[in-house]
Amino acid sequence: METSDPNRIQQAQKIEVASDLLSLARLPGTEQLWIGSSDSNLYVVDLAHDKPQLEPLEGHASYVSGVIVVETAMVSAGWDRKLIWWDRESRQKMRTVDAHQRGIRQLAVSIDGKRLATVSDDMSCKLWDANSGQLVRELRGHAEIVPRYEYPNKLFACAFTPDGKFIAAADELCQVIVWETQTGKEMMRIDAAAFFTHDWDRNNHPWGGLRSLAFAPAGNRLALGGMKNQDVATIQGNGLVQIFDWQAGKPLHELKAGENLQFESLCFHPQGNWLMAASGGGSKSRLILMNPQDGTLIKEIDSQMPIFGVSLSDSADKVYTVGRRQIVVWKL
Amino acid sequence: MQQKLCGSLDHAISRRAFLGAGAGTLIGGTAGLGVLGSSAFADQLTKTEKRVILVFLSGGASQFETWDPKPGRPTGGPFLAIPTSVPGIGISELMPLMAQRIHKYTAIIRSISTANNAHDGRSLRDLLSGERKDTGNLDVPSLGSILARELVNPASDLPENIAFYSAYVGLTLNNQSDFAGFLGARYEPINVLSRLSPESIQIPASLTRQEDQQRNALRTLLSQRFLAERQRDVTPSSYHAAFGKVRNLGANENLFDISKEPPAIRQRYGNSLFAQQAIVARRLVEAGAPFVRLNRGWWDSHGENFDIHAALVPDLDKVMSALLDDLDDRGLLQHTLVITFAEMGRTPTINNMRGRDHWGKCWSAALSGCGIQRGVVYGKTNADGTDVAENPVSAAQFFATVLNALGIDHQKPYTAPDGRPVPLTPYDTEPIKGVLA
Repeated sequence: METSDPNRIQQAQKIEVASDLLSLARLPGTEQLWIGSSDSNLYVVDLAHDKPQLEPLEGHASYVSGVIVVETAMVSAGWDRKLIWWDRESRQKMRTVDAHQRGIRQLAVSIDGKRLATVSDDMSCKLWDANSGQLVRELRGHAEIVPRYEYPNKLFACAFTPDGKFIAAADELCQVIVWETQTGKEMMRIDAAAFFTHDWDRNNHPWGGLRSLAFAPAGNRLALGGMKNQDVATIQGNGLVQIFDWQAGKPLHELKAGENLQFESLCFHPQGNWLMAASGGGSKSRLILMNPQDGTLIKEIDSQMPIFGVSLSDSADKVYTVGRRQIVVWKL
Repeated sequence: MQQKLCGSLDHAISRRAFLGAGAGTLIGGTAGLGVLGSSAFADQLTKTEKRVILVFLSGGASQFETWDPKPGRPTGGPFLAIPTSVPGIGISELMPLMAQRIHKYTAIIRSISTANNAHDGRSLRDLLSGERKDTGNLDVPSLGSILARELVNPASDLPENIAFYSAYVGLTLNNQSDFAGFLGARYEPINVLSRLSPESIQIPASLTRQEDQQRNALRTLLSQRFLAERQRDVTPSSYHAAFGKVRNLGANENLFDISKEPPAIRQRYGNSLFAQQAIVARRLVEAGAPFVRLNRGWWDSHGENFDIHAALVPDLDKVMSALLDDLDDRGLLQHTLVITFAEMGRTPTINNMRGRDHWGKCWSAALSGCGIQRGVVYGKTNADGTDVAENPVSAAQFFATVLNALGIDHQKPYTAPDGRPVPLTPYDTEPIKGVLA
């Protein structure tokens, strides 16, 4: 029986650390967290212990931007352009793959644990066999440069549909491309222009990007997270979430939150009862829960830190968050 | 009866014309106009070949994300370092094009240490004039204006000091403009904001070219008479010279027209505004302009430092490498010094918004081309970039190095308005011999 209530969300546990924690995966059935850090380490911590201790695993040479659970191992991704497979028991490296030409910004896994997806500023989304580490497919389609300004584009986020049949990736120009996982065929392009601002005359600079993606449990809705910037000179717009019928390419709902927020983590309730958005950019720190059926706000709280990674407990009554120098667990 | 004229310019002007019968009506044409410069510049013939392009990274670029990366350190950020064409020297992964060219063009200075921590105001003016403690309340001209004066080319009718700004930050928002002070208006910059050419350099549509020339001849005559009566005061002659140079921009408007460049050249630079302004800068120095500044804005990354530098540094990399290749291909680089500088660097500490804040304690600059030893790194910061570890370089030393690279004596005295001698850099300043060719 569902016992969680988003209206009652409150902090349950907090651990302070020395570095910025950038990514998070929880071993199912446990409170063991694997956490990617800005100090290039992967950390393992079991919050079920009375005095949880962070065990560092060395392997990456730069920020650890992603970590996920696969069938037989953990996999981490870094700005050193590498994917590393880790034995969950021995904590030893099993395999290292030179995955991209630029740093890896995000790592995703299909629900069946068989496929990984990575995105990088080399503007490719790559699909990997989660167990063998073999490259399955390289997906391209986003613009290489930001037009007129001629900056290199950035590929910020990727996500699988719950059935694993489709993979989506989103860039700085706020375009989402959805491909069929099995064939690599492009299925849909969505332009979410609300997340992009530019000013040629005064600042000669653009700002924006789709920072986070999440498919709803039913698979027919796609949530996008980022910022609606007002003034490119100050990068302090409103946190913005939009929900699309991705197959029709139509926006359905939008929630514009407070100022100085950029939503960088999105997480649906397993049955789609709510959508959580956590801010990682901007000067303020917020965690919001919204109704994905109508886009209305359910609850907004001060998250006390920029959040860079989110994971739900098995029963969705706890949310594990990592961010600037803290691990914070929330109870619903 | 037509009046007989002695041939002097004075008699070329009719009373009717003077009283405004026409916009530029003269009798007898414009014969007898004087020329700028004087024979006293003969000893500067060698120096007048020299030119400078200053690439000013307005806002303060991060040394960690450009010339002095610290990968894997708590202060290092996410980007890696890449090897360059000089063994043992690495720079940010965001500069792969310059990495291949360090041996050919550039000396990197990693230990600049300056007091300025601001985008504008007194502190910045002090930096731009060398952070001097030996001049009391005297407003010392900025390096750019000094170079404009020292490298003046009497054979060129272009302004000595032209500055381009890619955004309102750097000029309108923060006044980072060069300043000539007692050198006179002639060496003040002509500032070009967010475009490729100064505004209003074309002849008004209501005038023909002949009428414009005649109008200018009248102005010249009147100015020369005025100056003859005020020979001790440099100000009027300086404004006269400055006006003349500005006026000559109209005759040189083709220099600002980059459509005349071959597509292959334009492609190498790219099409950003900064890139296009850099092409104009090359055209100007090629035509004899002694000092051109490219003020590239938006480096003030208090928030989202890494994403901002992921955009701006590759742009800088592309434009700088194209500019240096272009100057070298034309045989200009041996006489052209390209300075990459800023008002400060950025903090080792990464703040709450993934940003870096203002930092003058230890940061980087680069010198390329004329008079510079290529492929060297001078100075060192510690492992985390929190302090200078070897060979700190002050603003005065940096300026002395620039002057020496151009064959200018960094102790050469100017005469201040109160009559005292003021050397170009403080008396005890030494240039960085390790980067001079």
